[in-house]
Amino acid sequence: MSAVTVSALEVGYLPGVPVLAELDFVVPEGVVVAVLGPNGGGKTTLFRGLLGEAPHIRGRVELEGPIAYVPQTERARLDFPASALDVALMGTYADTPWYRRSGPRQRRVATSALEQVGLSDLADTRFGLLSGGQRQRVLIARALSRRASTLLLDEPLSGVDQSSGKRILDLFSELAREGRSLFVSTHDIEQARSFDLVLCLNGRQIAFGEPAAVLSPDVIQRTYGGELIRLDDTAQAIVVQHHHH
Amino acid sequence: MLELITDPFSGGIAQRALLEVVILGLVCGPLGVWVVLYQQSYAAESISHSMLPGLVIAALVGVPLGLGAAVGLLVAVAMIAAVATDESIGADTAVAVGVTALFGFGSLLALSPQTPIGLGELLFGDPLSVRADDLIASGVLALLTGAVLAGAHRTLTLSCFDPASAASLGGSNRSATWLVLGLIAATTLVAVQALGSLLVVAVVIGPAAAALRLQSRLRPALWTAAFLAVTAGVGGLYVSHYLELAAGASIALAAFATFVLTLPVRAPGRVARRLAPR
Repeated sequence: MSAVTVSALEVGYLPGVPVLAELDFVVPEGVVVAVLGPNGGGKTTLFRGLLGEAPHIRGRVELEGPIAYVPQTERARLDFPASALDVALMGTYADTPWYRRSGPRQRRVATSALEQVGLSDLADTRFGLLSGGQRQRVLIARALSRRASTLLLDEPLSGVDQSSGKRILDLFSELAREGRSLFVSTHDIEQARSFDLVLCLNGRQIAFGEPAAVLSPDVIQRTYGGELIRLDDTAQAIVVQHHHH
Repeated sequence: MLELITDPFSGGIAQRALLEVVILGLVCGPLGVWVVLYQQSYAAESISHSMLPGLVIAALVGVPLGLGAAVGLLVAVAMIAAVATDESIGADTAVAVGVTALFGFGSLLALSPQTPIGLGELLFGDPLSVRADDLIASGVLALLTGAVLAGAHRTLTLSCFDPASAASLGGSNRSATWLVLGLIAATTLVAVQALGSLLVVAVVIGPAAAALRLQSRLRPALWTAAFLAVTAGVGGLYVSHYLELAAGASIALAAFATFVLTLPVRAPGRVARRLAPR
């Protein structure tokens, strides 16, 4: 079964001015997709388009089940008075009518989501006191509480130390085994090679498919254009990263 | 001993003042937590200032103060919006320019000899001048604000904690900030009689900032803020009675005191920022 089907999609904020065009891909259930592209290449726009938050100029998106966005942890407010469990509970809000309080059922959903990301022992810890990797896993737990079958993760491995990064990658595999589909935006081309599929963006879809077939020097060059400063014959690439924080 | 406690509230005027500050505390405390979390303290203060010309004109013309304040508020918001559309200026500057202009205009009017009501009363209010209809207005406001805060609790939480994900989790960023500002405006409108346009902000911000230092979770913070705001209101009335000071100002100082008293307590958020490894 396909989890996400995108056909001839153009996303943009002004009529007739697509920010991201020529999107055409089918992502089956239970795979991890690396989303590669330069800054401003359309990774965030793709996510907003899939979430239905950025206007579709043309084309269509078909989704199996709920979709959830997992931001970079520094986008969340560290001074907000909430425990890890409180944050996981936020994932249940969409399914709970506004006039009803969160009850034992919602708590069970949130607790088991925290368990799945391996953080049940830190459920009562304040979110802002957790490490970057732990915060990332709490935000993933929030997406699981949302019962999302598709997760969109915005550079989940940036600013996370190596052992936390390993835990998060293991979690990705586990979630994929359960049949969920994950879109993971990243700057790390080498890491993208270890994922099931790769989607390369630069204002439009440059390539989509299995890493071995897709990540040729030519495709990498066309994806990163001017941001790429070195490309040798083993297709090892160094990407100049610009951070906007 | 018991008389020391009951004596200040033996008369009807003082009893109405007591009830008024309890009701306003219950509204202002929890609302203040959201104002602080949304980083809208400056806007809250500005909104209350911008009501002054409306209040003065209402006093001059002889229409209810609330009506004047509401009109003043609308003019202020329109002015701020108009200035803020120039991108080279920015929202902060727009607020400062619009509000000081209105405040200056209001002061000019209030200091003119024709003004029947003193500037002091409009700026600082007087809980002891609260009438029965003011109490009813405060009660209605308290119920409405409580209902709105409870009903919007999740969307306020989602947009404040992580605006980028709020929509996908069922929240709405656009409505959240306007909701907070709208509730401040409504609260200021109602609290003007008792606390004046300047001092109401003290009761909104002080106890809330204190509560957020003491509590590390949202619901306890909301309840603590309500408790501290009520305590500040009642405590201020006692201070005013025994030291023969202005009641509104005493309450504002008591609200400030709740914050100062929590300064030795480590703020959970600050600790988090310093300690959190990446």
